Amino acid sequence: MPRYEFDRAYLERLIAGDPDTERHFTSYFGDLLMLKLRSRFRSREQIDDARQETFARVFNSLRRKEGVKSPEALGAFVNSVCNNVVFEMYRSGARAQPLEDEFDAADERQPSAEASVAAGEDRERVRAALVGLPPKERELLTWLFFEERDKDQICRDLNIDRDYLRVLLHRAKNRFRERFTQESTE
Amino acid sequence: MDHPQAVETLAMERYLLREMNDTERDAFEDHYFSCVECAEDARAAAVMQEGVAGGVARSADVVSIGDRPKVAAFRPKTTSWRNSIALPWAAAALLAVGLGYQTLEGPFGVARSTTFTGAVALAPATLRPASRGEETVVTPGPGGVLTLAVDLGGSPFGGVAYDLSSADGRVVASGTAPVPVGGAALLLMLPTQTVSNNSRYVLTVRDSTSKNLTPHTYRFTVRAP
Repeated sequence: MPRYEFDRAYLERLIAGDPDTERHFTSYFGDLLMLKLRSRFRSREQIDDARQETFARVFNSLRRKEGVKSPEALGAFVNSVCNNVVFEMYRSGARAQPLEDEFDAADERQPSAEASVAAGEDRERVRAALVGLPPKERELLTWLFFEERDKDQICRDLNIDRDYLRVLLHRAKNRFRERFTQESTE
Repeated sequence: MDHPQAVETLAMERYLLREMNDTERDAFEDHYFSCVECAEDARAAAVMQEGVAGGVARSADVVSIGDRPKVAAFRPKTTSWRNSIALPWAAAALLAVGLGYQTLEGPFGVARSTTFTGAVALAPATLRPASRGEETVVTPGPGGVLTLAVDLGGSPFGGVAYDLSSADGRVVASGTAPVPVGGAALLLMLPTQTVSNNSRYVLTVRDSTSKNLTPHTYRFTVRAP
């Protein structure tokens, strides 16, 4: 995962609707929003709805030159908008409304041929990075995020405490990150 | 929360393990959306978590680190079944089909392997996108066929691509299928030889024409009648 620091030029390109910048923006914050929303909603539809609604509101605010005064505040702004979306979805108990008609962010429904190829390549990189992990780490991740086993039971099964479970997850996560970065640069 | 504090307390790991209370969780989210280093870590964690949850990890040699018992095969399989022609055959066989014709005359050869002489009524198990804590139990029907009606949730797919993986991430079958017309469910039929009884599986369905749309995941357990 490459480090990325937002600057004034990036913010201006985003406000101007530059497609490449919008694509980067939705990819970068899409990951962060996914991580956040997985802890808030149970269904994939709700997660996708919340994520799209967040992006729609952020883009609308940017186009109206509201909300973000400096590029450093971009992350906090996205998180804040997402908090509002989550709160409203909790309150309504319903799915978010569809995107507004005037929302003209990058068209994700008609990707270029390069984008389709890239999707497959991304998936391959994730799989290669996961398969490349030591079997024990891979199985731990499977227990945690695929089977969603009870953490206390995992600790009992492995005869470890919760502190060490964090350490094991830390190691697996870092190793995945290294391998994923390595796969991305090869 | 600042960066040294996040690092020292293994905040990302506690966040992934859902060990934070709401106040601490909100504070950490405020932080990682703004901190370059933690955002990088969070994005990697998100990709990893999504990959594992979606069954992307593929391995045939997962080593047990606990005392999880082995499950018995639902139907005995012949030696090197999967290593020879089985996997490509299963991948080719897992298609979206019309139930009646394909059940009897389709690529699975159900009619040839059973005593069907007329119409066959199948009761497909409906799969809806994975919800935490919920899991569909699927029971094979007549002729040793597992029939799944996959609710795509009205998503406007440009093309359907799917992977079926076991709990350890091993891919059992994958392929592409036409987009169901008019919001209908995607029908998938599996010969039961490809799955094991009392085992968990995840079906990942994605839009084959778009990289940005989140794949749908469906989890289910196969249970003998």
